[in-house]
Amino acid sequence: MSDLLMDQLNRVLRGMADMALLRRAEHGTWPVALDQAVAGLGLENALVPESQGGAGLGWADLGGVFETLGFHAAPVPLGETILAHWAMGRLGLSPREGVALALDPLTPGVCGTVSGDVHVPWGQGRRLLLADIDQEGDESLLGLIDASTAQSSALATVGRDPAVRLVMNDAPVLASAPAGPVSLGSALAVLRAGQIAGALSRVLDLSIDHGNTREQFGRPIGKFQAVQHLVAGLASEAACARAGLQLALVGFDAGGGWEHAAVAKFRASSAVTRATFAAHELHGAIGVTEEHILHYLTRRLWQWRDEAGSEHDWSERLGQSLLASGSTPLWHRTVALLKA
Amino acid sequence: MPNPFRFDPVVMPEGSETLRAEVRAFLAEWQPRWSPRHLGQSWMRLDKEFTRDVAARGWIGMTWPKAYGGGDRSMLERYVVIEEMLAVGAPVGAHWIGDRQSGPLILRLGTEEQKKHHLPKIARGEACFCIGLSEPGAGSDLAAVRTRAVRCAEGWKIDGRKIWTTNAHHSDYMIALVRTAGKAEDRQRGLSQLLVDLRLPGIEIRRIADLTGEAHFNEVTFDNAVVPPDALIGTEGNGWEQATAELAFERSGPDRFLSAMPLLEALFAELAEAGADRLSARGIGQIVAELAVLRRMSVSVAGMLERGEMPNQEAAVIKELGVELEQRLPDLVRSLSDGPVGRSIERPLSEIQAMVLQVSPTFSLRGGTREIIRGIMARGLGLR
Repeated sequence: MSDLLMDQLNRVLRGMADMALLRRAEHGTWPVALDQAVAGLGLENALVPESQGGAGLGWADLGGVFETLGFHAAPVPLGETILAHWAMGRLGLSPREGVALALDPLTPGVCGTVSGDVHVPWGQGRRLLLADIDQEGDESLLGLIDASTAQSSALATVGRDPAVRLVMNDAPVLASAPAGPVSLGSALAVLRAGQIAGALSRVLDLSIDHGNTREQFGRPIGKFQAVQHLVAGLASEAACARAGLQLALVGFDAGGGWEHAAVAKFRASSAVTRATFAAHELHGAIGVTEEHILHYLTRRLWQWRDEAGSEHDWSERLGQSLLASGSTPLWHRTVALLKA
Repeated sequence: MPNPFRFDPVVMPEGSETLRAEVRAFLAEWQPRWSPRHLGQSWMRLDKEFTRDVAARGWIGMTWPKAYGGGDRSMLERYVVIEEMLAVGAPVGAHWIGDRQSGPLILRLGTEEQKKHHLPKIARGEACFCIGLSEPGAGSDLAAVRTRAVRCAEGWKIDGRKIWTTNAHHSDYMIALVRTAGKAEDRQRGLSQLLVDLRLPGIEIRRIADLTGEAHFNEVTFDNAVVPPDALIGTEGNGWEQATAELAFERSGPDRFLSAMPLLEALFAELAEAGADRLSARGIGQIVAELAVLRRMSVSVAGMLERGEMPNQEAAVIKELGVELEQRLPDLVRSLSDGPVGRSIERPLSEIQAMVLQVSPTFSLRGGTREIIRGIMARGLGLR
């Protein structure tokens, strides 16, 4: 199923999300036709249970979709929309338009209100916000917030996909429910891990192509060992990002939660550093020009690396948990992370 | 969307958790005998009594047909057993090579006599095998091997020298890559694999001490050593292809990232007792996340091998990143542990640390150097 959905999305993006469209999108032109074509695939309700009118798919079915979004650096909020519909389903609500996702949790206040200062991708003009609400202990709450009174300002980012900063004080919580094993933060982390894995795959393709076509000293630069080693390193990181994603998707489907998100997002985020270095080193000066496609991918890699938890945030949380149960050998905990 | 890496999901076989618990209980009985120095040597260490005990449980040759002394079990069940052994630094050296590659080679390419003669003994923990590949003049450039085997009345006459042969001094047999036809310039062509009984005359084994004071390495000299005609394994002249196929098995297993697991557990035990701080948490969390992903890939590759596929690209990634992780562990210990762990060898963590540190250069050399592996990966990806 993952391959099938991926192919459908890939066909649309390959045809329409070229560099000219990316450039226009980053300069403020919303890609209406692309947005409609993607919406036409009907993927938004993939994770909504069948009993609520959705496709009832598993997380593992979405891996290809998440990666394809990253592969094309697609300037559309399909991933966030899929998660928004999933979250609405968990709240027992039917999906609706104009619901954004907060990358950070909110703090509960008095009488069913929340406060916070949050980064909201694709959040411009949206009045409803889905967010994790901090609780005592490990259990988090998923909430739908009325953000109409929040102060909203456009956020400049390295990735340049549209985003806003929302500052809210005592915003009303319209609905809430225990998050279950997969919090919104964990889901977002895995979405970003998937996008990173896809973008790394694209960066690898570009680098191999460049190695085979760019000639210096009378031969393609791919003939040099130093270049081969850069590419091998880049490929290894891309492979691990993908494997980490798979681990988390299967883990989610098998009842897992934040620990799996931690592994996936840690590995994807930590892959970005070495991979982007190798790709830019290999491409030389042309790789940092506006007119070459590479930066559309590497800037998003740098952006996604830090969204929904960086490698540092997730490794720290995982490590705290491991050290807190110090009588269990690390090996036993490592084995338990891989769910069949 | 093209992607050169497939890490297909794996369903662990029914009963694998019970098997895992059995192996852990078995190992728990042996663990009190192992010193920190032992743990630092991990799977290089050899203990024939341990090997016979493992054999008695049916855990050597698990995947081989019962007709040859095996257990007819799946590669994934075998995977469970070997990863548990590696995780605690068990001394599997006496059966490691035989179980991991020599036995499978014989099973795949051997005659009925060879299979019936060798496989049951390996499975019983009674026959120890070593690998005869590297020579003084042929390391990374394996096609430059010069050891020659010439046909004679009694079989084959071997002259030459193999080096870096791990545990040859304790081994009964060597599977050696030798030239049986043509000249040195023919390189990969004209090579064959011979299964050599190391007790035969004309074979001298000299131990090579390493920087730790141990001597796992050996130099094996062949001087008019005569082996019977049935020493030939597989097809004459096909040695190169046979040997490189063996390497795919060698490259992707959990021994590529678990060699220093006892060191990590020792560090963890110390940190857990001291109480978590943010730096330690990040360091431990990072390593476990990396291990979980490497393991995910390695299990997936085991599944692919079981289906008869040859996941060379995937295996190379595991090798490349696995050994890099192993080599990082001594410095992780230094950065996170209290007190000067590296200054003297007087406490258990320091003892394991000292051993792992000194052998760690070999992690990225054995089974193909990192530089060679990267070149192979690049070629497989479509560069060149």
